[in-house]
Amino acid sequence: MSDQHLGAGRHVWAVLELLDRQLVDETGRLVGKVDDVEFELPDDPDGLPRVTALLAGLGALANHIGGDAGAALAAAERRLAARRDQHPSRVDIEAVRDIASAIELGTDGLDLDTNRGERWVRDVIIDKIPGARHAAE
Amino acid sequence: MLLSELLGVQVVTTDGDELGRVHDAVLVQDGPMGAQGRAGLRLHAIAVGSRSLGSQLGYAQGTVQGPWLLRRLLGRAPRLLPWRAIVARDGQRILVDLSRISEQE
Amino acid sequence: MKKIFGVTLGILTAMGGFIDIGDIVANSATGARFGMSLAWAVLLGVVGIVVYAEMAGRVASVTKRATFDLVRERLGARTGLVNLGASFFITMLTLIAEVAGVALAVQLVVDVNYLLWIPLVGFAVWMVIWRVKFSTLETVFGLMGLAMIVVVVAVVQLHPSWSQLWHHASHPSVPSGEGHPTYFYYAIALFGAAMTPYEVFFFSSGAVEEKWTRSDLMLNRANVYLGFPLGGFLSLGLMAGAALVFHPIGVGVENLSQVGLPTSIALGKVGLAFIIVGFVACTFGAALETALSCGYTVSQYFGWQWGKLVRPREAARFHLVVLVSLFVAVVVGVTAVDPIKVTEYSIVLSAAALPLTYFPILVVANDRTYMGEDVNGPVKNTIATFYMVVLTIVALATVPLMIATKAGA
Repeated sequence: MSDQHLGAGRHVWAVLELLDRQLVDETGRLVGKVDDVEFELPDDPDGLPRVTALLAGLGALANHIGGDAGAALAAAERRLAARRDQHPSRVDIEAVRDIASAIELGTDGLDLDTNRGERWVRDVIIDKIPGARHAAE
Repeated sequence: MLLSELLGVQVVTTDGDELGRVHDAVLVQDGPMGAQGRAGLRLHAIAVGSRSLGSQLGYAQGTVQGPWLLRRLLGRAPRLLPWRAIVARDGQRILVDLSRISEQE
Repeated sequence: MKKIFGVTLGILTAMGGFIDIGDIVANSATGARFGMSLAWAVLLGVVGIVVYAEMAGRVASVTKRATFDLVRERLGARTGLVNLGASFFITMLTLIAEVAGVALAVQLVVDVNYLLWIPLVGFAVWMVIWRVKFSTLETVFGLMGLAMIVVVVAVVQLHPSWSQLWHHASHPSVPSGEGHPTYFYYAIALFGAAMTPYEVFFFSSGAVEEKWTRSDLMLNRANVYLGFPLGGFLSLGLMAGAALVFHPIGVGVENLSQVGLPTSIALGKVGLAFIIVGFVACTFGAALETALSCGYTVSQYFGWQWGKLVRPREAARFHLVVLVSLFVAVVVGVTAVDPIKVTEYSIVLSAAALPLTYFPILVVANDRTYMGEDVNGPVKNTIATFYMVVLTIVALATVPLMIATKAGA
């Protein structure tokens, strides 16, 4: 049985093409991996669930992995995100521009929640070392 | 609902047959138009089977065609169950009614 | 100019991968103990790494996705995490050995205990990663590592019977007094030393760092077909030197100064100077590669921004991982853990872990939606499948052999 008869429009296999795929923002910066996919369930019984967001971050990753490793990751995430709400970082599906070898976003990644950890490490550790702003290549 | 809530869950028919675990889902871009002018992605079907490696790597979907040995071992097309066939769903099991499938086609 | 110096990535990778502390000791120790009868294991490893690195480099050039990114993507988060744990652990072991290796090589020049050099080496490696441009790093250490060519010159200078050397290499046999399990354990060690995963992490990430594209595929091939065989050639030079000097008298090779002996016998002080430069360059180069690979693997699994191609503050978590890894390597190194033993474990475990990272690359190299026209052709696929079988056999055999031979005693 193939997926040919499912309907017109682009077909996307959720696990193969979305899950665990690299997210890239419009400037080309790497902003995380898709750790889970959020759906909105239909109101009427004949409707189909609709993708509303891609989730990234330790919390979502913990859910995705499950088991003991997942529980450990979830505990780590809770400790790190203590001052914030418990929601994993969310990339609204509207922000997705293209699904290719990476998921390309039409927004600037730094605004996204997924980069909380990056900003923290940068501010607290890396920026304190001389040369952190040094031009690269 | 999260995708992770579906994956790995055992699927059972109303007749009591075990069809395997969910290892992928087919989304189709045929939903209502979003703010960016693109159609939304809707979940049309779940892919069920006893082994997920072929599906995870891309052999089952036909995306990856080689090498020959791996395709032989892993290239079984997945069994697809339309979303509407699902009768009930909890964290441990998904109950499907196979008679609903023939209604759609 | 880019084209000429572009080959130095491959050379550096090969130097670091082929002539790191593990290869230096493994090839010499094997030559001393088994003569040339395990040369085939090196050859098998060379062809293997050529196949593997070419695929990974091609995939990285076409898709801009480096190895560990794809490992998680194809194997999923759970299996990918296990994979990450194993790969990171092995790369970490290798880093500890390389940092100690640089210190040991420096000790050959300045007679101060190597333990005191370790923190300095760790700091130096970090500084180079922090400040030096990727392309400069690649060129300088790649070219300096070429000093190791002296070992081949030394072999020639020892006036061996070439026909005899060739005969031993082409008619492999287990020498009397050695058991088959030990023979195959050493074979796995040589194979693992040739095909270390971190070489591929580094090479594919380096291809993205250097911004290779589809039009650079010729460059990819040049790097791989020139660099790695060169490394293999030098490995065999080390093996031959030890086979000629140590094997006839039944002496083993256990430390770095013994490794240098055939060269100093053949070429005197000048030869020794060259080989020491080669040792330092290769182990330092390998330390750079493994430290960067520690950062690459973790960052690519989690999807963080990585690499030297952006300013350090834009890849904060990546640089933090590199920094912490080097720190741990230094701390473990100064506890005077035996660097040779650590290396031995790292190469043998590398051999066992190879299928985990090879497999996803093989799959992606066949994915037309990613690679378009540049998927593996049938010839490449046949050879690549052959190696997949070889790697699986090696992986299954490693731990039993390790136990049976008490780690090659």
